[in-house]
Amino acid sequence: MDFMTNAKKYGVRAILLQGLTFLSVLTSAFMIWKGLSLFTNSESPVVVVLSGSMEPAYYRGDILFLNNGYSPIEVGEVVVYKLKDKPIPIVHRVLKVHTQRETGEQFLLTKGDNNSADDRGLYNPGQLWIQRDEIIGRVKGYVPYAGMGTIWMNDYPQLKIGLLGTLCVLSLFSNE
Amino acid sequence: MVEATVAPAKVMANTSSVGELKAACDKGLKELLTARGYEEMHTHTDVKLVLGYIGVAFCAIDFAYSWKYPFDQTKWFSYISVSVYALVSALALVYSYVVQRDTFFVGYNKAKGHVVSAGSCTRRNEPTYRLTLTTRPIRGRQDPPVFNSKPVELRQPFTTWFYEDGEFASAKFNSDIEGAVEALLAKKAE
Repeated sequence: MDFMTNAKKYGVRAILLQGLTFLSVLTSAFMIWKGLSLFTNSESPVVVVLSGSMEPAYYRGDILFLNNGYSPIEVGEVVVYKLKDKPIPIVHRVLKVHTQRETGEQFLLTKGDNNSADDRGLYNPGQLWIQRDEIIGRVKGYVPYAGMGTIWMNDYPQLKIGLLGTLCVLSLFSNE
Repeated sequence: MVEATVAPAKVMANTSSVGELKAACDKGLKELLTARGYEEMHTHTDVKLVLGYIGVAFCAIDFAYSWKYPFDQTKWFSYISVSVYALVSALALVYSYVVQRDTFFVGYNKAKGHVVSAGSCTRRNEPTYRLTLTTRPIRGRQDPPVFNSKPVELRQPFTTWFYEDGEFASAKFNSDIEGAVEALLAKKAE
């Protein structure tokens, strides 16, 4: 590769500087996400609604903002949970709550507003209740339709790579 | 054509872009001072590189750690790395705005024992090159303040150094700037 000729022509410093400009796009995006994640105590503070199971409250393509405060979950709250060993989180409403008197441990049953049956069909085999630690967060706010871009990028992964690649290439061409 | 030590091939700039004109003049000044025996000091660049890559390192480690292990387990390290990243970015920004400011070249002449710093700026929509040259003696310490002696300022419209098609007239530029450099070195001697 002509990396050595470039290094001799521009100096190692210039290459490191270019590298830093490029990397700072990625690192600042990641750090903003992590910062928001820590602030909300949620592993995924912003999620996109993928199905229509919560209509008419939330439609496919809506963006939801989550907060995972430590207070106990209550019936009627809309929560996002991720089952162990299942990759996709689900946003549904809490139907029933049982709390262990001594430990305060919670057992929850959920159901999508637009579904006819509760979520026991979605849980892991043999699982009747979900635990508090499977909850990623409560829905605190939403932006309608703002997540359609993410849905397209998931359906067509080339878009995701293309967008990130474009951002990085553009940062290389910016003059300081 | 015989290759001179200072003038390279034609330097072209877009005459409508004040940024490009300034960049061409900065480059010309760098070459002028380097030819006069000033070796470039990379302190400003190095500080920003070190700060930047510390942030990148913490970011990379945190990314790998939180990818492998669940969120609650890696939270403690994420707190650390987000704080470090914020601190390092803030420091780099402060350094850039307070210490470095407009400086684009710092050169030291070991034989003569002094350091020359050149800073330049332009105003929006105003095609004037504002150059500030300062000098200070070399000291043993790291990172002494740049503004030690009275600076020499030069303010000249870009039109005097560029042809209509955007070619940079380095000979004219050099002769104009050399006057300022001489004035600077003369002041230093006082």
